[in-house]
Amino acid sequence: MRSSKLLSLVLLFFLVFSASCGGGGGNTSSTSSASSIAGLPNGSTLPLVVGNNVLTLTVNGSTCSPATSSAYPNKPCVSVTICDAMDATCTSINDILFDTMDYGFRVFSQALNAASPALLTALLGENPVLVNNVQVYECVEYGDGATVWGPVVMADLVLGNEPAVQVPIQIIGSTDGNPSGVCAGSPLLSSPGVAHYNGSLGLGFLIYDFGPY
Amino acid sequence: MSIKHGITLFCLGLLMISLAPARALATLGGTPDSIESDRRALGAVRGLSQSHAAFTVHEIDQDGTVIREYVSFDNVVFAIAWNGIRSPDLNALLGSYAGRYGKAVAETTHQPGSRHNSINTDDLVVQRWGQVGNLRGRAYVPSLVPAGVSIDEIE
Repeated sequence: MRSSKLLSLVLLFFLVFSASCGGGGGNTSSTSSASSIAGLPNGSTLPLVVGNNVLTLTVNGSTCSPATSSAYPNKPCVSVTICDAMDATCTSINDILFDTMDYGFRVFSQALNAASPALLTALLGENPVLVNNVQVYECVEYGDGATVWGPVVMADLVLGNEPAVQVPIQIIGSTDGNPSGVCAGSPLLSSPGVAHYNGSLGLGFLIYDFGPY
Repeated sequence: MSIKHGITLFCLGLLMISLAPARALATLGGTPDSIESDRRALGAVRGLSQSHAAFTVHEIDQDGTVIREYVSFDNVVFAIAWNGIRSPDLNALLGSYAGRYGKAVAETTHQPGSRHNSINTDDLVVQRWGQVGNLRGRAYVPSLVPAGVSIDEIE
């Protein structure tokens, strides 16, 4: 078994909780520079941090999709801009689960198709990740036995206002290449409706993820 | 053939019929012989065996995932535990319990955002936990667990 080269994305971003758990708390109203982080005040609200290297994260808030979030308690979401490897087509996808101890970026084909069918086509056809000239598919299993399946392709990702970074990503939610259910999970997370998110952005300390293929 | 011989053969026949289902059990609930059939079914490598106070643990290694089968002194596999990069094929390991496990899974609503999962039926418990790349789990038949053995010993 080998690990694929789906690179983990190490976030060099300060995360801003712009809404509190469950959306029930008050939003912050003040802004300040990043230099004030060292002296965060105690209190019910935190000052917003601004900067190109800031990625907004909400818990069941504005970066989560109401359509998928109702059954998901305390769901941390970010929004990520995805471009094809030629940077010709870009789209922004919200409801990306900010997933600690997972690795890499995975996005459902259904979410991409809803936002930009042209981008989905470009990503799948333009720059696939190949081993011995064969498309790499990956099966990832989570702690509860659920799995995701799909091909690994090259894409440009934009986090916050930083320049795009070209990395391998996984496009999940397709049964292509999984004809005999080799990636059967309990359950196989086959769509945003089943998974309760549009994609996932891993935050961990390893360079490679663990998907067998 | 005398009547006595006839009765003896009849009784032997009954005994064989009563033994047959137990020997046919593939793994969980089966005899240690089934560990070898598991190993072949999974294409795995036989590992260490360790003796404990009330049971023996047999390890098999499948492509980086270690599977431990817990055998009581009655020669019954009463529990299975695993850890590794992916979960083993439970259909092969659960043997005659695979059907009821599949049914229980189908009847369970997936809880998003959880890093563990537990299926509890009257005669089978299957638990999974862990994270990507370090998946753990165990399956056991409560009624077959030897007296005095804590569930925490199955890990």
